Amino acid sequence: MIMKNMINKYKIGLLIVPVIVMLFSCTEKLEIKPKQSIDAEMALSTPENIKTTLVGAYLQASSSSIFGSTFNEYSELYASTGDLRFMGTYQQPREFINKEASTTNSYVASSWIQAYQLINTCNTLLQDDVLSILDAGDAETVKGEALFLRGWTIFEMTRFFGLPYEPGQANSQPGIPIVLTPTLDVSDAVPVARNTVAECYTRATEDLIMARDLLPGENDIYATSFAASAVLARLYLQMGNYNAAATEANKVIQNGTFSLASTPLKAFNNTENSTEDIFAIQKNATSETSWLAVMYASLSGAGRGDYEIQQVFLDRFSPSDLRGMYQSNTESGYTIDQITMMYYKGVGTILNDGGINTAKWGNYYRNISLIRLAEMYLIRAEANFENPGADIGPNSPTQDINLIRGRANAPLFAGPVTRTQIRDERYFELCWEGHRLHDLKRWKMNIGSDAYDAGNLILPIPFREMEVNDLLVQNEWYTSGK
Amino acid sequence: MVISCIMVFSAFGQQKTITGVITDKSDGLPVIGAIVIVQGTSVGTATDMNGRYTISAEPGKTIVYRYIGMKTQERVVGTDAVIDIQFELDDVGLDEVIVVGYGSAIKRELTGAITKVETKGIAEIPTASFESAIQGKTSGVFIEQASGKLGETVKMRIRGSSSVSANNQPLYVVDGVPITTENLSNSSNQPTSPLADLAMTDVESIQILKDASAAAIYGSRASNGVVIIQTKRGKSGATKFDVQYTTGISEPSRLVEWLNADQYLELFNESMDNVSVDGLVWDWLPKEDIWEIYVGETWDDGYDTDWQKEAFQKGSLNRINVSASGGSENTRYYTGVSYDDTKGILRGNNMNKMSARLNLDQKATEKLSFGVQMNVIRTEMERVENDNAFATPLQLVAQSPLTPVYDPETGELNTNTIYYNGLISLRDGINNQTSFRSLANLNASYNILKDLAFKSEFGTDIYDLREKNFWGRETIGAGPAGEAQNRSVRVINYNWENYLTYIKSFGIHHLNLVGGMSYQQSDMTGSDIQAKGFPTDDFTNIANAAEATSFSSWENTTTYLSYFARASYKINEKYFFTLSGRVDGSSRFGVDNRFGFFPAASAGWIITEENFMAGVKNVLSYLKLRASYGITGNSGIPDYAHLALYTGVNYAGRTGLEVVQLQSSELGWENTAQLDVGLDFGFFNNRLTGEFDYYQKTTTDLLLYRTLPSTSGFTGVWSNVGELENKGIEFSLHSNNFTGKFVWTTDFNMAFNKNTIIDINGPEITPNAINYVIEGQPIGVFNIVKYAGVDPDNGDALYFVEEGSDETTNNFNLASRQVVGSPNPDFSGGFNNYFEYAGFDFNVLISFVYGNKVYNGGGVYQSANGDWFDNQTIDQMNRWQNPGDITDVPQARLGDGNGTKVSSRYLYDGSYLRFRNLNLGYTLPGKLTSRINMSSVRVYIGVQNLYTITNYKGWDPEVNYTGTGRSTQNTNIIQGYDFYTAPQARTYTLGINLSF
Repeated sequence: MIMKNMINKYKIGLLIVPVIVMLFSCTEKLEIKPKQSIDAEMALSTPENIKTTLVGAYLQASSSSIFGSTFNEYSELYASTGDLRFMGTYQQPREFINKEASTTNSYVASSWIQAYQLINTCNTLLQDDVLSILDAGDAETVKGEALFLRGWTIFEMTRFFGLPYEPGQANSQPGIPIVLTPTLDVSDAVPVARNTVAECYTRATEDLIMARDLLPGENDIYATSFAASAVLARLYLQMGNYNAAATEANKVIQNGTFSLASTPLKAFNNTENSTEDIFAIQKNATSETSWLAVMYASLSGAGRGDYEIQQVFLDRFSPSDLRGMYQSNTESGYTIDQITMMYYKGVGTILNDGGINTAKWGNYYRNISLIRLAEMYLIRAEANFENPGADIGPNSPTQDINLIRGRANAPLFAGPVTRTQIRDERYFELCWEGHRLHDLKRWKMNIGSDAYDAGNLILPIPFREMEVNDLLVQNEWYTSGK
Repeated sequence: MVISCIMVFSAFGQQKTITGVITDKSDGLPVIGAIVIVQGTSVGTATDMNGRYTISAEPGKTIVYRYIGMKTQERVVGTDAVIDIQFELDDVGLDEVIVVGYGSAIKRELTGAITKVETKGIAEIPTASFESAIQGKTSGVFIEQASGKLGETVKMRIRGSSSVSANNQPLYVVDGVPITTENLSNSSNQPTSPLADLAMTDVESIQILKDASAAAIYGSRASNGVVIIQTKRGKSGATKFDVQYTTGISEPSRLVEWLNADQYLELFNESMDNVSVDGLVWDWLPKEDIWEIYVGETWDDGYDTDWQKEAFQKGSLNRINVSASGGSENTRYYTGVSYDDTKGILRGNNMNKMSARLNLDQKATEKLSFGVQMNVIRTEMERVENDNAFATPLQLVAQSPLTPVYDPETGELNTNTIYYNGLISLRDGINNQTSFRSLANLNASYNILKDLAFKSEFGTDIYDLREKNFWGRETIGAGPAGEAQNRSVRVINYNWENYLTYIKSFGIHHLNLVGGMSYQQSDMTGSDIQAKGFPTDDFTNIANAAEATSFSSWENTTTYLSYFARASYKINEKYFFTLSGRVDGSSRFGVDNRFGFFPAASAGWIITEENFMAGVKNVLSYLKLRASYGITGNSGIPDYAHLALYTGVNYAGRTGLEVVQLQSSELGWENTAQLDVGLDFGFFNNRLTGEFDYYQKTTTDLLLYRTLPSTSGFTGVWSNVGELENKGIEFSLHSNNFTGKFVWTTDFNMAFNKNTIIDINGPEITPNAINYVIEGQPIGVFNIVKYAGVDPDNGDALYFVEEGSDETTNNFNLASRQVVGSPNPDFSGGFNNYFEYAGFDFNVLISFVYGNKVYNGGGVYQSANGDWFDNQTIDQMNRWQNPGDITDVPQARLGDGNGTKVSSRYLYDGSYLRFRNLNLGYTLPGKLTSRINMSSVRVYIGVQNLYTITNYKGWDPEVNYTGTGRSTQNTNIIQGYDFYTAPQARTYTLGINLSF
């Protein structure tokens, strides 16, 4: 009996010992690898992963916080003096249309953050030891695309956060910080100061020139040599460098394979790039909701209808001009596919209906055209007009303008076109695409009672950023009210 | 061998040998290990496996019999050689059993700060989650419900927030298993609480470990305190059945008063006039046109709609619990089923819960016993959209009273409202969440030697959550053909613990040693798919959708490997010492910082046991001093936070990689060192008892999501930087005012906590530009522009230019932010009174919170002096109209933003005193119940949240909306933020409890 108890006791004891020994040796159980992510080294170690990371850069660029929407909204809202009204409730757009942004405006902070995330991705890809993993041809393309995205981002951000570029001046007013090295470790995340507007334009120009020279003429939906030329044309126009602007625009028109869509509206809401698209954000059903459509559209399943176009603007178009036509017979349940005219009576259920909405941004999940061929004609026309005698390209300004008008079924000009006609045409063709504010500043035209270079017409350095970075200097209007 | 210890301490002199058996009066079973000592000597022993003891004592001496959970008894040695003792349960006294980590202790012997929560009657409280049921009952435990929506996460802060970015909720341990408690439902809606699954009738006891000494045995996750829940166990004896049925109705506890049609017309006509030029509003259109555009064609049809009413429904509650418990000498069981069907106060917000439990304990041999606790639960919730969505019911209040609910032409819900009519979502939408949960715990203990036991516990918590959303084609944004979402998450959490317990008495010396290890693994998998394009609204399954719009899946694993030990030593029932330590390893940290060591030490001294206190003992019957110091940890951050991560992304069908996280290879534990000094006391033979504690908690190496300059490409990174502190005092009193036929007891508790951010090694942190983390301030302070009222000359809203200056400006941008209040209360507490007479009992619980502020994020729309067409709170009628008017509501100017920026204008005092629970019960006399073969029959009526005294202008000062897509950091910092957040329900209940 006693013996049996002893055995029982030991049996249990023998069970306990291995249990404890086993459990003391399971330290490797703490070694858990993530399953839906990979670490940085792996991401940048193979040609395939590097190219895939570049695709990620395009996704970053497509964000509603930058190219996807707010770059457009800032421009159109700040430029508006009654052609577009904000009907919504969000405080952020109201501040822009009132031309009184606050430093805590969350759109502005998001733009700043997203722009630099994109720039950091570009900088990561532009490292020599990353590019060296690729074969020579791929290395050129990847480098060209990264430079394209970085240069373009610096250019757009400088236009919003810095006072206007003044041709022939020193342009020592602050632009944005130029960051050219990647952040790989927390120790790289150091404060940086703003560069001057001149430095920003120089950097953007150099990036885009390199991109233009490195990139091929065709590159699926990604950046091409022509896309880089097109952005350069835009940039040179902003700088008042008409010769270079016309040259780059002409290059795109003459050497590219682009052609105008059959009607103005066909250039928008496409599931694949149209023949007119030089560069477009790609969208499909699985993409982030297009914020442009959220704000501009008022349709079934799309849009709050917050940005309403006013009749006074439509009245400026010739009656036959497709770009000013209004579809009033819309009904609830209509999507963009039932919209046949450039403007329509809103039928959205979210917020505002019954107003006039543009059809340019009518679906959450269709491509967003960022650079269209039409803009190149308009740049060439304006640049040639402002730079008489250079006559870059085969067409006169009048011919270029009439090409655009002809497509829109607007009466052609007998010519020669005037400066006002060129500028109006630019507005009619490119309205609600994010050009207006920059054009007005370029033309040194007042916006309401604000002079083109008024301090309240540029964005504040986000409050968040000022707090975390002592080297940043706030734009003056936001500290002095002047 | 067994008797050797007695030999050591056997004394000399006129000794008499006394033997006896100690049994439990309730079941007659022998009590093993009861302490038997001769008072005033060092002679002592313990009962053996049969409850038998033998001790030598001089005649005339007193023998003291003690056992945890039982009333201590004393006998004077006389002529009898046999003294048998029957122990009786001691529920509330100092000998009450407190479950601590890996064991239990008697309250009087505790050296740490542990509160056992009164659970009596909590099953009668009509709240969805047990945390709400114990609100106001324990000092130093601040509990706050986020809103009146059902099943939402309840905030519990034990002695303040100990972290900025990592988790601040306590660790919950149910029957020895740390359970899954974090929200797992879609982050586009408010968080839900997996704790709501626990059936309150199954809960036997709730212990809250507050200081480091108590909690450090849980090491790495104990910085926020530990809540230990034990479920009910059977007792030997005949089967006892308990049936409880509760039914009730509920309504919003408070409402807000809005403008009626006339007031609305008056205010907005004036608002338009004030921005008109030559009769044109904004120099654009006449007023009538603006009315028509914004409010719709019905604006002048004479409607006067009370939209607030439309947001609510008549709530109800039906709850039934049936349990059976009993057992034989070797087998004991408790089994219970419960069903709970609650209809919330918000339209479309309902919940029902089914739970079944079986707890079984088996004594297999003298040495081996094992047990199993199993619980399966299914919870179904019909939810409403998050507070910041047009479709959420309470946003209906924004609608104009001039628009009807139903379209007069079609009879259907009106679609011509200023904002989307959220009732359409309730009609055409589905928002369901179903969770299935199974908790199973298997444990075995083996007494290797008389004093040495080995215990192994294996527990699992399998939590499966399914969410189904459908938005019909007429709902907001879901045209033209409807959208749907299916989301599922499964967490398999298992925990294996093995430990040895050694308990030994050497006369007056008593030693209790625990040592062992624990391994926990939590595997989460989930998937989420969204699709659109349905043939009709009758099809709501994704199988019928035309195309997928989003798809996602995830898999995460967290592991913990820990070793722990604790030594408790007491001398002569007077001096108590505890040392504990735990080494924890977590998969959440890098290789070099994976393990952390969390030690604690504490001591207690019952001063009244000293001879020199004998003189005052008739007044001061009990006085104990305790002190503890220790270190606990926090690892409540996301998995893989230390790695540089790239994640796969989808660029319109093209695969991409995107960097999502910056490397932080040094990342390690967050440490909290806590000092606690406490005093437990009892007066007048313990008629009045109480506890007082002072504590100081310092958290260093904060797991901080540190803000980075975003020019780096990153907005933040997880780092161990910074420091914060909580210090405070808390006390509780329990008084038996009357005992006997008329019983009156009073409980009062109150706690003061001061939270201070000492260092965050960087800029201020804010998730919403309202609540901030600022050095020198408590977490989450409101750092906003200070409102200075209205310029009497022109009706402009004025703001203070800067802190400490009287200078004001009407230009918001020129006013700088300043700290204008804190969402953390200065103190909070509860006050409970219980009366009993002739079978009637009455309980009233009041809880209070003082000194915190609440910011109404919806204020810029709701109380904006007619800035936009949202209906306004009634106080906006007091707007500035003429020069000289003195008011704090600026002139009404449509769309002008006069005073509608984020400022202290919308900051309110959030203090409140709430009649949390009133309950009147009647227990039938025993004579009567036995006649109908019942052992007990009790009927009761109750009311929850009867009345709230507060200056808060919104629905409910007990509020917090943390936003969507939230991170832990945001949840920690955003406090006291109201955004169309639903008030809590006032619930009237009627119930009956039967036992037989």
